[in-house]
Amino acid sequence: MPIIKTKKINKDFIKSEYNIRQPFKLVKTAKSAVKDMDISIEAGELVGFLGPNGAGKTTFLKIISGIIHPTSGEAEVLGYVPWERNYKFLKQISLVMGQKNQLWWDLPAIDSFKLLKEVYDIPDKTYKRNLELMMSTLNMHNLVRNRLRNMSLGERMKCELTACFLHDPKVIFLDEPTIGLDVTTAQSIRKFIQTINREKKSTIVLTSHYMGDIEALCKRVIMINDGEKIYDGDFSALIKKYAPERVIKVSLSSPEERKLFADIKYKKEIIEDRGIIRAKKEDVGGLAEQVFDKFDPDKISISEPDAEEVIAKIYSQ
Amino acid sequence: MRYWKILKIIIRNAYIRDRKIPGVVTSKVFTSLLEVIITITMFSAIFSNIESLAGWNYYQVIFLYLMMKNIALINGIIARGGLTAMAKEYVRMGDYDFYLVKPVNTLALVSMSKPRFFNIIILFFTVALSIWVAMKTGIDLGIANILSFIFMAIFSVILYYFLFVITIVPVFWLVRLFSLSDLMNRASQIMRYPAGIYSMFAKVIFFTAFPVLAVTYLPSWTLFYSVKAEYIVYMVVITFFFGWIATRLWRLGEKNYGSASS
Repeated sequence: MPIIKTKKINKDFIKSEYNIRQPFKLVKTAKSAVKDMDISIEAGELVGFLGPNGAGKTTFLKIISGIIHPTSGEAEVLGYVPWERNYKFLKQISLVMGQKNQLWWDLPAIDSFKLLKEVYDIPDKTYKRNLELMMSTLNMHNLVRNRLRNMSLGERMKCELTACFLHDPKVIFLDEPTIGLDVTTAQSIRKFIQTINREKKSTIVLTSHYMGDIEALCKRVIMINDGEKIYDGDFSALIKKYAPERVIKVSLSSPEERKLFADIKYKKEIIEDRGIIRAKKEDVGGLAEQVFDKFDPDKISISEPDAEEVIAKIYSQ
Repeated sequence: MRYWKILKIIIRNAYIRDRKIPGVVTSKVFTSLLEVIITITMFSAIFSNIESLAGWNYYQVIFLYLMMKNIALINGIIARGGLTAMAKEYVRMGDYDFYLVKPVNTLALVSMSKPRFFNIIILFFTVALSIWVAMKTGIDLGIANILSFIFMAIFSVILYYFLFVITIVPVFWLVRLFSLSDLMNRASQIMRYPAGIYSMFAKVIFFTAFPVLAVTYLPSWTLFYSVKAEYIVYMVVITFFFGWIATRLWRLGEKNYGSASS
């Protein structure tokens, strides 16, 4: 039984503009942000929504979290229609947006947590247990007494994540949670999300631009472009489907090495001081032999295609 | 009970925050009290040329003005900051998203979001002044009048709040309403004068369609003249009615809410 189920969800935004050529009439233009979105997510899944800017990821997230009404279509999350905003439904979900703060700007984080304890009616025992778990996992003991406006972006995001898990939600919506964060903080947050998904069996729906988030966290990916779903399935299968080749890279530090590389009989390219060959799986063996014959193994790497490049290729098609 | 606990945390923190910025608080208190002094001076000038305003003497008119001020301040302590922020930023910046995912009444939570604790200081002065002015009117104030006035004043505060909400609700459709957030300030000016100075048409509008006159005039009339059951009943009925209108419009507005781009 899916915990999140949508059927033909559409969302159009109507924009009204004044045009001096038609002074007594507002000119209306419609933009379709989400088109016929059908998805089904089981309990405990950690699903990534991937798409370029303006694809409709966040709009869809806002529909299934109940923030906005769809223009048409049906949805059910935890057995409830999200935009009816039943309090029993809202007590079981949580939302974090990477670019916005839900915690009160002028309050110390701990006071915001206490406020959320009352808002969500969290029993004392649950609150203390979850708060201690979050503070230990995210290393926040020295942080919680500071006001949000005195914290760095990374610190604020840790507090936001803590706040979102205090009431043991069953479904968590994370909209670009690592945006703007440094590598170390982003990694610690990914690790935290993985831990929560594993230990609490929460269903997590994540949108992100960063391939690092998707690769690290999501076995399943839903790709959206221009409001439409273009792929729904295993992330590694997606990469294999659209880029079944292997990438052989050779570091070229002299003109002689460049000449040697040019002699390799296969489609290749040289970008700055690197030679790149994108080889079909069946050709990799023979090509690798050629390359290892000509060059020092320290200068050679063979890898899967870069996921970002693959995704960019898919969007351009 | 839950909302009371939420309010306590927010008010406590507003107090702690305001305590750390005494300069800002002092200037706001000073400005507000200066406004009261200037308004009373203006009325003094007017009453140096007339005996009464629609049958109300100088002290009665000052009392009406102070009643308007007290009600605005009480709303200001808890609700005004949050509702003004709703008009200017929450919808426009998309911050309202987070209110919608909380299992509490969004109108209540928005209203409580930005209390102005320092209004209590100003309220202390204006209430004290109101009591002194009421005694100076020269009218014998009976216990029944006083108790009825207090009862109606409570409904005045609530009615004023719901009227404020109604002026803010268009933000769900129009996104940003700097001018509309000030509409209640303008409407409040109507509340400071006795109803008798207005035309019949204006009285009908401001006692029924947008009953700002009922907020101050009916309770004050009850205090200074006679306790009329129909005034008390009317006060209760229109408060509930406009409360229903305000909450229905708020829910309708939420259906139209489009959030903001991330």
